Amino acid sequence: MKITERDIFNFVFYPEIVRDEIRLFLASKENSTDAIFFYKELKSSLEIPLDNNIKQDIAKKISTYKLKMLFTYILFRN
Amino acid sequence: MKDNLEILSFFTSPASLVSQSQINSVIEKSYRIAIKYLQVHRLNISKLINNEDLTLQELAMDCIAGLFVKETDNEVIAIQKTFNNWKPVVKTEEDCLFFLNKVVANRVEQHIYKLLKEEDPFFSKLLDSVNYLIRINVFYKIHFLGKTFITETDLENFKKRFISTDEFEKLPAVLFQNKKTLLTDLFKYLKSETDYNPVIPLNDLINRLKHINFSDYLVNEFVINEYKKIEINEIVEVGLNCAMERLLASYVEKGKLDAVERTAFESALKEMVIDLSDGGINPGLYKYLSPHIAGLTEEDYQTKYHNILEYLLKVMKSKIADSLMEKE
Repeated sequence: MKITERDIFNFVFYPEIVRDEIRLFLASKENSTDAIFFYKELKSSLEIPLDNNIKQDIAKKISTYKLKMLFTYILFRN
Repeated sequence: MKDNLEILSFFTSPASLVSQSQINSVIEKSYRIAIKYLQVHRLNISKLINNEDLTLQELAMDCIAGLFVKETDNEVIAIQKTFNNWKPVVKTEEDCLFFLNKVVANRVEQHIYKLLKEEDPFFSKLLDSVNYLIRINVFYKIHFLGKTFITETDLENFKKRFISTDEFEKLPAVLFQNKKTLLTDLFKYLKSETDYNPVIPLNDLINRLKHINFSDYLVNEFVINEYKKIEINEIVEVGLNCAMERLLASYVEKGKLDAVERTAFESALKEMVIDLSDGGINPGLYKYLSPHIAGLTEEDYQTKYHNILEYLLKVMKSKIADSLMEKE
């Protein structure tokens, strides 16, 4: 049985699409595999909304990222 | 949760129909992913972010910024173009999140390599030499969790764990002694003596080589057997001396710096050259000079000394780069 990075990614993000054989194998390694730990942490971080200060900094660096006008006004007023 | 991860429409919809909130959502996810991958590289980038000028957050933004630049003459954003050329073709939401994860991981690693090459001339030379060894041995490079690994075959199998930076540091030094068999020796050892996947982390390998014996691994692309003996200390010494001479001629002898300031600059330069040979200069140069001039505020440093110290660093790095070129 071959395990790919995509298998590990799917195991964390989309376990329902992982083949049983692979899911069982990865479940047995869940607590000892850095990659599973990494993707679990990534998944958790994607669930947390970004802080307003970070959003403001992103808007300064990336021109295609735009804050809503009212939101921008509140940020800059403070 | 799942709805939060749906980003496929950003890539598949006509540019004119993509909303600002869709764009923002993909950028925010990319930022989050970049932060996680930078944390994987924390040991390699500690020098880069350990100052007031560049935070982990800013570095993450720098890594992804290029992905969200609008292409010339149309509304398409760079990452949408990458999406259209991606193999295998992205068809589902699951494919799409994995695609974003891989693209950001690659950008983070490329950005770190770029910064390390700029900051550390030794890193750059060793990277070239190791890449040469990979080519002549017909080995492969794979990318996993934001890091590049050298493999014997192009078949990826992640059933076994990959060796960590800490564990790689502990491998016996004797494995790194023979430049011709360096990679095969490492593969053999990982297979026979450990339970790790037989893959070699590229960045960790370069750091290990730099500290074991820099000179033996500088390989001339055209004359494989003619290795030149270049010691890292010897080269940085040349750079340091050149900067010291310039300090004397351009500033001390012209009365721009007094004897106390000269001693302070000499001490700062000596500390900078140690850092330069050990992973790169800390961009916050104030920290190098402030311990040697009592009561020096950052404001005074910026006004009086920053340009001088920055110039002397440039002289030192340039001389080191020239020395490396001459030795090839």
